[in-house]
Amino acid sequence: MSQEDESFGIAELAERGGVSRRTVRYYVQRGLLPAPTGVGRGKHYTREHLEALLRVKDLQGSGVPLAQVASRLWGEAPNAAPLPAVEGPRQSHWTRVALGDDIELHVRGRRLSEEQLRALAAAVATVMGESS
Amino acid sequence: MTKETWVGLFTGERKIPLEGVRVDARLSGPCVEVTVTQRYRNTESVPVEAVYVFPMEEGAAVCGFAARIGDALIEGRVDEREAAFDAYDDAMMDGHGAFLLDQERPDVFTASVGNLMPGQSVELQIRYVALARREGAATRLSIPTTVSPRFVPSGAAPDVGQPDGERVNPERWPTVPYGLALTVEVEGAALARVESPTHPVRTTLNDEGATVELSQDDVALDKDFVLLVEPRAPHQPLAWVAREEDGTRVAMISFSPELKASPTQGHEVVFLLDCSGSMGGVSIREAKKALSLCIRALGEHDTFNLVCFGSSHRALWTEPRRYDDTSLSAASSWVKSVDANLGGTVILTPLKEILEAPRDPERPRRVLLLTDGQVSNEADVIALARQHAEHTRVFTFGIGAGASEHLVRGVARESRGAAEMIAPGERIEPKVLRMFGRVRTPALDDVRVDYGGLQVEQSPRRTPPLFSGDSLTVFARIASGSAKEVHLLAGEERWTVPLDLERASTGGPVPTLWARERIREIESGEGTRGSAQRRGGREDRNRARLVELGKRYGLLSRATSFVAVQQRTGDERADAPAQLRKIPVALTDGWGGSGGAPRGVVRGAFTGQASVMTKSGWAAAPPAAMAPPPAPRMAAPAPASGGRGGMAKKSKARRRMARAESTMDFMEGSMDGSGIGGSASDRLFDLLMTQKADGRFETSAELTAWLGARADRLSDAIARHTEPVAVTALVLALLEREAEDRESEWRLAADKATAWLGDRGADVDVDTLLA
Repeated sequence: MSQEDESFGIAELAERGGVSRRTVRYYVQRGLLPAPTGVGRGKHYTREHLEALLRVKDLQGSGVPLAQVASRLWGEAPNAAPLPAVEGPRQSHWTRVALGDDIELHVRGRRLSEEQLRALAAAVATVMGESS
Repeated sequence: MTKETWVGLFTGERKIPLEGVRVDARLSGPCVEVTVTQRYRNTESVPVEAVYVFPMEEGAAVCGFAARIGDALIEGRVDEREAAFDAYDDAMMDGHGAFLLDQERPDVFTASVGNLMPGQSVELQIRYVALARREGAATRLSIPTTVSPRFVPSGAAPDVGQPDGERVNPERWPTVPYGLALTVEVEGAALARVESPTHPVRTTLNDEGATVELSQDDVALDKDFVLLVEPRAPHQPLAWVAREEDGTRVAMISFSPELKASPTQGHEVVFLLDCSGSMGGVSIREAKKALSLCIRALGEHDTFNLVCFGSSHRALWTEPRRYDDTSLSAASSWVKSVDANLGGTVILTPLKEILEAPRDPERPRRVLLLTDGQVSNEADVIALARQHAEHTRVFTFGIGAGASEHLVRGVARESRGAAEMIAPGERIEPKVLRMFGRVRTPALDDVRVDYGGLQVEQSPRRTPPLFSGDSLTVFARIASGSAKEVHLLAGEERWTVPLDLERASTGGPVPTLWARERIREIESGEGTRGSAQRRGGREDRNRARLVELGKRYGLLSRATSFVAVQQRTGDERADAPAQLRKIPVALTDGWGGSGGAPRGVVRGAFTGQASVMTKSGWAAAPPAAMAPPPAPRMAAPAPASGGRGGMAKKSKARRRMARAESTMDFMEGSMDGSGIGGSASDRLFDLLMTQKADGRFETSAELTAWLGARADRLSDAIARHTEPVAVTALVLALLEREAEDRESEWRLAADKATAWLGDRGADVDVDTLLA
């Protein structure tokens, strides 16, 4: 079997990755790992899964919050698209959203739906802990 | 705005597969046996995996787990935590029914119901035994109902996998569409009192004892249930012996020692008050009341200081001061001025500062911590308290409807102090009084149990500290030998309990409780700071011991989980992946000042108001991830003395919320007139607060108000005896005659007043004054 089509079950993936199966499941739930390939009993993981797992584990282990792990993992810098340099005074409209104590989100040019606000609050809770 | 229109906005957004929780408890002597039944039902068209984070009592020995599906009862087994998960996950992948119970903290657990099929119902049954806590003459049974939001401090060691703080922070909703039913069977024919300070209950007395039920069928799971049971006969020392299956005997021995407090021994007392946002509303008011009473329980030999903490902390003085009128007055003003506005709960830093400050050689240090304990780094805080146990005992008050018992009791236990829980609606004074009795109890460090000719494995290994009026219980697994009695030794004192090794029944809760106590000791030895390697080695050894004990006794621990599998065949198996459904939990009643009307706050935040934030900090910020409920549910009406407003008050609060920045206003409004354990204005409490440091009383508006027309007669007596003598004598008489039924609350103040008065006030004619 060539390295490309090497595949393994969750137990082997976890063992090779040096994590528990619980952690593999959690990463998949969080969208940090792609779901296994195949269906039913045929579900399996590939070398790509293993590599992703190792990277997520390293990033999380070095203190990167999980919410940032995804963007790092897929090769994006957190601020990949910097704002253009300001040339002279300009006006723009921002919506200021208070998401929690000491946490504000500024959104340019539009208001967010209630659905979006709720999702943001949930994300803040996950990253910052319930009570930040 | 009415409740109906508001709820209607969100109805039917998300289906929750948990239908209800039922608790059946049996209180027999010092033991509690509890079955928690969680009823799940999948109303969706796809298989789901339901995950529910819920609390149980801190000392609970979780010894049973089963899933009932129709007529079939599938018993769970204990396995190493990850092995149990693997078995669960294997079953999930194969389409079987899979059920898992994990311990996240000694008081927080996660139940997972895997492959719950469309239309299918499952009941999870969780059994535990615990030692009932003694509180004065009463036995206190506590059933926690929700996991309060926990503050996750920054700077913790990075996790791999699910972050530790997330495990104890499920999504919170203001209300949830599942409720609680509860029944407690109390054994014992001679009961003087059975009451719940937290919930309206229906009590039926019978020949064997009493049956207590919640007055309503389906009560909100948003505050701990507390039941106080007082037998007619006082608590007796006792020794129960039980046999394990292999015949090994295990004894539970409970002593009721009396020790004289020493009034002349001074202490350095540092009060540490939690002013984090989660304490907002009822909790901070209860804490401040308790604190005011505590300060007045100090004596002239003591020094003291006050520190409040949240994200930051500040002390009243740079170092402790002597207890006198000046310091008392400054402290009283300070207590009035503080509020729950200091943000997060960073408890470690101020506690460390206090514990590491230079010690007064003449005065043993005592810390009185008042907190809701809602942090996720309990283990670190408890470990810190243990490190300094040799010099400083920490006495803790756990405050609020959902305080973390693990933190509150853990810190006290490890520092050889003591804990009291104060649920909203409970009287604070007797607790303060009991606590100061303990603070004043001489610290006897050589407390031990003498087993005579028995070789035993005692649990906990070190005999707990001794406090006057409290019982002291140890468990002993007997390896060999014989004895007819055991003795508790402390200094010169000695107490004896007879032991009958022949009268030992097989099974029962005693061996389980012995093992639980061992598990607790091992667990509390973990989580300490240190190099990862050192921690790693110790952690491995501890885990191995936990797994061994957990498997042998069938007990849950942080290293062992319960797993059960329902084997399915053919079409019964799930053929599609189960969708994860995390069960939201109800936000603790009164959390962060939400006081029963948090919905308005949440809505304000989620409608994207640009300025929901106010200076009140957390109170304005919703506990994150708080989504609206899909359906209205009835909240339990508060007991007459409770702090929770009725509907009228809620709508008033919501009207105020219509104004965007009025959160602070709303908080204060919601607190109006809901005095703790009584009316908003409590003349006894108010009068006691006028007592001077040395114990004397002087004229005050509070006294005048109480006396009414009789106040006019006071000037003659003052002219004859001087003001403090006349007034102090009068107040003593007033307490005895007009507040007789609340002696437990004023006894401490009266003792101080009597000591100050000596024989100075013997001839004050109180009869004429009070006629």
